[in-house]
Amino acid sequence: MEGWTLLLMIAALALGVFALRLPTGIALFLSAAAGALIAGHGFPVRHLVEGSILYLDPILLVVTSLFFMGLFERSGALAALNRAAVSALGSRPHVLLALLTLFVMFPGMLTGLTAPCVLTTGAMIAPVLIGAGLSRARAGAFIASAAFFGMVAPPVNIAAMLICSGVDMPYVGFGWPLLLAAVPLALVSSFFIAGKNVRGLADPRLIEQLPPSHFARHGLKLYLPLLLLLGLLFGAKSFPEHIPYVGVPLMFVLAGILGLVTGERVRLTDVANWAIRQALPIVGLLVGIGVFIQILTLTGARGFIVVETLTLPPALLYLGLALLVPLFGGVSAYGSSSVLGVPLLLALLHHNDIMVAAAISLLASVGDFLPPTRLAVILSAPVVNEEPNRILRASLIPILLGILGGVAMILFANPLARLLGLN
Amino acid sequence: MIPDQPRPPDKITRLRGACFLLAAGLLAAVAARQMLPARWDEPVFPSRSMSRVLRISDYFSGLKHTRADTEIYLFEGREPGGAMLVMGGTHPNEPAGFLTAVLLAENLSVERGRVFVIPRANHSGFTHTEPGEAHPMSFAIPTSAGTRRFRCGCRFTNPLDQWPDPEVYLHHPSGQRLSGPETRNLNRSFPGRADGNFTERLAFAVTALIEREQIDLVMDLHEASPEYPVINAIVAHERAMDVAALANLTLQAEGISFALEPSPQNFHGLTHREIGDATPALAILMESANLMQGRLRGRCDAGLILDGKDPWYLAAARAGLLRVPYDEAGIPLDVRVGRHLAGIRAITDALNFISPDRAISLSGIPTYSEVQQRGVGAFLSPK
Repeated sequence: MEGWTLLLMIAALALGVFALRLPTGIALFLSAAAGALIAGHGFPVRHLVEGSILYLDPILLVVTSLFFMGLFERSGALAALNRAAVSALGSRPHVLLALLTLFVMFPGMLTGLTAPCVLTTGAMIAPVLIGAGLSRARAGAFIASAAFFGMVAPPVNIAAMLICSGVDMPYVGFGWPLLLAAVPLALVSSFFIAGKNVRGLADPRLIEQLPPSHFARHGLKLYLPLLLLLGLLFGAKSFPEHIPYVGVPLMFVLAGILGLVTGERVRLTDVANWAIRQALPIVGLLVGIGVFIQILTLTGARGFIVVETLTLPPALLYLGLALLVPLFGGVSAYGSSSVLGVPLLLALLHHNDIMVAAAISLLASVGDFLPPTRLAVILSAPVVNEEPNRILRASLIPILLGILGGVAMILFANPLARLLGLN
Repeated sequence: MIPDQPRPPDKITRLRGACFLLAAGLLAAVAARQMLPARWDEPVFPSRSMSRVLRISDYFSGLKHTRADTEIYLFEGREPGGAMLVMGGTHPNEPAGFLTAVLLAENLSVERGRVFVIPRANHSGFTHTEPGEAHPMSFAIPTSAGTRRFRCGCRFTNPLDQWPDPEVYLHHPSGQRLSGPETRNLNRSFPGRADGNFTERLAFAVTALIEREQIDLVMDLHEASPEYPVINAIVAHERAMDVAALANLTLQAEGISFALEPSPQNFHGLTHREIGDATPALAILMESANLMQGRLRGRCDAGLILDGKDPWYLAAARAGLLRVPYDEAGIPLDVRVGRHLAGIRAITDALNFISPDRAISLSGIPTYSEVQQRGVGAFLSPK
């Protein structure tokens, strides 16, 4: 029965998205409601509403990070920052590209999420990438790729933390494995995606294509919102006794509001309206995913997926890992880590557990590229003004590297662990 | 990036938006009404031998008028002796721990020493369910005079009491890093601190109770998923290992199998580690197997809590994926509560044998076989 319910939910989702052309969030909600009905739960209002708040915190993060980015751009800080970066490092394009990759990854390393990477640092460098000659699709793929690896990179990898919580394992010793899983693959992906356009970063005409800077008028004051944001993020982590943790969304709001007085004049309502309009499809998607997961669990379809994966023959288990963990990650990377990652870790206890948890977190995070949600892609689309599907097609390299890297880390978990001094 | 003049929505878009908002509001209102009973405490009818009802805020006034302020049932014997604390509901999504503590409070008689029973240790966690887990909000147990309904809450403190979660939870004082939501997990917050967050303050109050009342033995009742490595187990702090080992021998002689696990030295925040380290009490935790917590479970409803039967767990058991014996009979609530009760009796007897000067004499606790024969409901007050 659970298998049929799952099939029906997937069929209803495909019907909604492809035939009826509904927004993915609405299609997810309707397919979940259909799944509950067919499984004999009627129209379970409580579960539909409870599932809708599963991603409340990420929703707040998306809305407020867009608000911050809107104010940062309107104040003139974004253009000034881009011009400064290109002026300083334009003569060394390969170094600049590597630094741009790490720059986009940075918020993900602190928050364990792709959204802040794409919507803040990713949005900041988008004009540079497009100016250097990357197509909008490849610029979006570059940003989505760096954001994906930023989500995996240490110190904060929420997917790995969720696996640890599920097996009562301290989140200790993950620094090197996650660095290994994220940084080399991120750099390789970036250079592959940028291709010949790396040289475009050294083109003297690039700087002329960027929006005009207001640095001369406002000076370093322009960067105060960014400094406040970094100060709040780092301060709350480094000095928790002195700086209270107010949550990343509120940090974005506070830093964004500072942008009202540090640069060009900005109308708050214009930016707030823009942020909400941009965020609405993403919010709808996250609400839909939450409801879908709740009904998958309620009907037992989640258990069906987990048990069918775990009971694959040993030879197929690694293939299952390579396909099913990212595919379930397409619904939710965190859901995949917690639901599939925990039992898989327990089934693979003959491998080093830290390496396996790090690898599964990488595989699950690949889901941020994959349908139905394609979160990293969907988020990148408005940043580079491109169709999500074109960005997805340009993101093949990071998807493949993520999957191959994750499986290799599991296959060679024990020797890698010895190499990193984890045994 | 931002257009100066956004295009105003047309009439159809506005109408569609209004309909959408109305539908969302309606769904939220219906759901709110369905969720409201989670705010109401189910009654507990303590046995006549109970001396007093205390509150956790009696030990730390900072919790007064908060949702953490939970009831403590105190049973005092006529003779002086040792003192014991039994905690259920540290994780409110683990029904056997909660129900065992309720059943204990409703049946216990103490001849010597003192017993403190907290059925809802994380009271706040009982007031909500965890999004994404689709747990039932409650389950019903038949008694001789009708059914009694008990809540199935959430492992974590209600976000209305403690929010937002940091990305990384740093345990105090060890500095151990765990995922953000664990900051609302009472059994990752011990020994707690007076100026900490809501859950840390609750843990601090429990630690203060243990110190002020000179508790000799703490038993924290839990459940875990059948695929979890520490299951059907007694987990003991190193100072409590003698008592736990002796109790385990008694249980084995009765045909009730428990694994005996030492409390890990490098995993912090748990009762069996921190209470054992921070206070003179012997700290022990017991785990039974609850399918509702597992990731392998099929359909979720209250029946799964009560009968513990699930086809996917059966498939997993046949594939050798579980850490407990599992067959068509399932792992019913009667079995899980019976195991906890048997564990409490055996551990108390072991304490009395090892520390006779701090003995605690109990009666009224149903045996494992009595609970299997008559069911949990037979021992719950019908009032």
